Amino acid sequence: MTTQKRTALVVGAGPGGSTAAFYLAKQGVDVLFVDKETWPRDKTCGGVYLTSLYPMLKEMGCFDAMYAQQACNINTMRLINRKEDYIVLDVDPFMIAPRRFTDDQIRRAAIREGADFLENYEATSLIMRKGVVKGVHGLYHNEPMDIEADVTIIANGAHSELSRQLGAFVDDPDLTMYCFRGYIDGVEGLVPGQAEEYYVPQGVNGWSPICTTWLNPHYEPGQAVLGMTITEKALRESGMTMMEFYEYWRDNTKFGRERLHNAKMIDKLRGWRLPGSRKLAQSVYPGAILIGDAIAAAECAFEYGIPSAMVGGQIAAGIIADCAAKDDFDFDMLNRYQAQASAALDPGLQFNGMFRDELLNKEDVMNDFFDWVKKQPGYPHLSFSGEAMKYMHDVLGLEIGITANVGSQ
Amino acid sequence: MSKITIDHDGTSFTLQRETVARVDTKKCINCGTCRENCPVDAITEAQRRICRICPSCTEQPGMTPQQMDDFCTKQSCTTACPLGISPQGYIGLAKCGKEEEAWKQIWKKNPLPSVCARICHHPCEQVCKRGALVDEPMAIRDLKRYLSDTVKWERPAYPRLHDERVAVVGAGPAGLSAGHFLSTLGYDVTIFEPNMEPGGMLVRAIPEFRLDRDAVRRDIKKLQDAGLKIQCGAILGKKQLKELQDEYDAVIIAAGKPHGKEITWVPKWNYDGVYTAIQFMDFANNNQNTYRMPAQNFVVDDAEGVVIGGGSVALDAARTAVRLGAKKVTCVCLEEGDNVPAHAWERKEAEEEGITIIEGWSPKAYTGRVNTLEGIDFVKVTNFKKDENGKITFDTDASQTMHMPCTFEITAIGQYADNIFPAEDGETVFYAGDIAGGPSSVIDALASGRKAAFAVDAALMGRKLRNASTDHEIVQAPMEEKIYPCNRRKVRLTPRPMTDPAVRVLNFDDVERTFTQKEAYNEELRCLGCGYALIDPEKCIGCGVCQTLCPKGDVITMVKREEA
Repeated sequence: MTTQKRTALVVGAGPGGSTAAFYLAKQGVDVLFVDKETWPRDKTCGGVYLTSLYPMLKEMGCFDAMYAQQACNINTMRLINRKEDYIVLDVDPFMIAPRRFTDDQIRRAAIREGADFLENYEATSLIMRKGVVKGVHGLYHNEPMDIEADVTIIANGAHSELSRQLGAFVDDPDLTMYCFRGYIDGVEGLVPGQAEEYYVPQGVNGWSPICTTWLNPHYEPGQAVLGMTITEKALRESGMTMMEFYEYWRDNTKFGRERLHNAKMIDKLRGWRLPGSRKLAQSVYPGAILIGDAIAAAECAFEYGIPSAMVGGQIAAGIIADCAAKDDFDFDMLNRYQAQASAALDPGLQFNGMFRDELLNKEDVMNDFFDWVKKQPGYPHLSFSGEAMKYMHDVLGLEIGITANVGSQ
Repeated sequence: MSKITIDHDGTSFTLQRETVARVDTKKCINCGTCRENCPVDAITEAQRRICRICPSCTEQPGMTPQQMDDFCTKQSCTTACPLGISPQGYIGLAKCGKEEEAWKQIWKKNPLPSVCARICHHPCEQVCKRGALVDEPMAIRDLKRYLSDTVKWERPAYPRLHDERVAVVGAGPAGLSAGHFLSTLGYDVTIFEPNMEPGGMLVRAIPEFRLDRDAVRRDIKKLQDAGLKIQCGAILGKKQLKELQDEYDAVIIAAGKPHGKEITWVPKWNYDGVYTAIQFMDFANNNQNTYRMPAQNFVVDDAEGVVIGGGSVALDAARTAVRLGAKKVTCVCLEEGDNVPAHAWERKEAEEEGITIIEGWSPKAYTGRVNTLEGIDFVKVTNFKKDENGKITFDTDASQTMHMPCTFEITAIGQYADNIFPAEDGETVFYAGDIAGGPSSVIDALASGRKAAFAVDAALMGRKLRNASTDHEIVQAPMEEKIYPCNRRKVRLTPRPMTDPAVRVLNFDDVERTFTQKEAYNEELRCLGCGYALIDPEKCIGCGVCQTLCPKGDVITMVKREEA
């Protein structure tokens, strides 16, 4: 058994953890970030980098490489409801890029900045002393190794054992999702720069409404990346496999037939089970800060996962650097994260949550929203988030105090 | 009659006895023990000349008679070895039955003898005169391997002579060597290794079919048993290095170059199935990680692959891919002809296993669908130049292109180091191994570690750097000591024992096997015995140290000064 001693430890080297490590190293904090995978590694979900992240990526010096590798740049969005009616709205441009490459670029930026990195290290549990997190127990190449730290950033995603140990991640079976990704060739009718999001009608065996499918143009004309998200509950109830669901959608919906009648899967459909949790109020614990999906996995399926993780990492790094300068890692010092992160992230999270719960998941409201949008002056050159906010505020009478454009998509 | 000589400044004197040592040149095996231990440097290595009566044996293409003479008398297998071990010495000892003595000659100077017995690129064999004059060079490495497998031995515990503590970062060959030599000098040494197993590239990058892991573990265990402290799983950052500098009297950085370079200047270099050789070998060597191959999409089995690079690492990766089931593996390198960095025997072994090596092409573009690599376009290289610093410049001829279909690509174009280490300050921080120079061989890393150890010793003790290099004077033997190549049988008695290519591609077992005792003896008989120890009677003080230490025993006699 070997032991390390560090000022700051970041568990997880995804976009959130690497961002935290980058900003910690930049501010001269002794930081080690660890990951259980061998890098570069792939992920089936995400890959969306919003415009609001570009300044941060530029600061890390990995924007140019990532931008050159992007599969496509999305600036409009086609939303298809369960009546197979559609609207087209402008979104803040965002890029879709393969995560195997982009996550690796962010990780490398942190290493370049001077953060120490350790792969193949699997954090298994937290070292707790008098209720304070003092590092992690883990396995390095399957051998036990402890890493002690004054402060631990937990950024190892929705599957995090550590956030469950703290009670920060409460599994919500209703939100547990299966996320799938595949690549298709021979897709017809896609508009360049336009992402398409489908809400698949209830069909065989009574599909649950929470089931979304995307088609995004990918590199070459006629090539698309297909994303599918479905709650575990719905998948269990239907008794179908994801491939069967894909085939059902392809053969039984108007857009499915139109787009995919000549299409071929290039790659196997791949995916994973993603536990979900409603965000708790608390993301700071004595000696630990939780960022990204480790605290709020519910948002990841709505293209808000990477931005919230990266912004959270940046804020956490700023606070820890301040703590390290004063050599004071008290809970009160760390807890400033809560307020800053809430200010930066909550409006976006709140908007996304509300948009999903109040609008997309209610079939009638969604249909009304479509009719309402089409009647607005200037359609189809309207802002997606602006119209959605206006509708929720003016028509549905919901209170939303949204100002930040983070996650405005 | 004794003679006293006093230094010109009067600080020291030597006392010459009546007797001097005399070497029986027929019996001397040139092991160098006497030369290294002579207190007055009276002993040099003499190299025998070659008989040139009939020019047929000695006329070499491209060599003038003068160059031929230089080849024979200005270098030996001992000077070729970066650690200064004398192959002629241990072969001679083994030949006369003193196998333990022979093995001791090796492990006294080499911290990882069993490892070197398997993967050393044997510079000694490249200067072996038998290879140039008779038939083929001695199989020196195989004889060393025979000794490593047959002799039971224990390394004596390190002495503790100094209070100074030294930290070594990295337990690769250079770090282990630095630690070993410092411990031998009596320092308290701790090696910090980030991985869970010491050995560095020996366990991470070198495939098991070339170096079986038992040999590595055996050697390292002997060092640990003798008292070398290796702390595994120690991941050091800038802050920890600073603490080491404060806590220890000296720090040797031997962290190597653990990351493989990537071809980032070619667009779309990041397809699934594109790996650096280090990643690929790491994966192949750590079977427990198999299920976590960096890209889940990619299988080597039954696939076609391209390895970019022409060095030893590239060929190792290609041979590993073949063993993992690849249908076809092609190595493509920039260099052509003699510039290809791989050794000739490595190329031969790789080609026997079905690997094609294509010279003089540079990658231009990767092609594929989505994340899947489908092929690589190459463009012809012209005007390839490599300067003394190893910097490569070349032009490309866009009219000549080549497409190689493949589903995986392994990049083996060099390695780079972490950049977190403090600058060498000459007093407490020293560099050794790959991080101090380019990626090189195991034996060079061991030599570099030894040099750093001596530098630390000199700095801590405030004395002059002892001669860490193995270069020593070689003198021409007198005319009567000649080698007659014509008298030697022009046969290779024991071909290097290799497994059949068709069998060896099926598994990761060692491709070479150890000599049997009979084969080893036959091989030992082939040694020409080019060198011997030459004692200058003028300098000799007759102390008899050489006679006491001579491992063979019957070589040196003490005679009256007048007789000499």
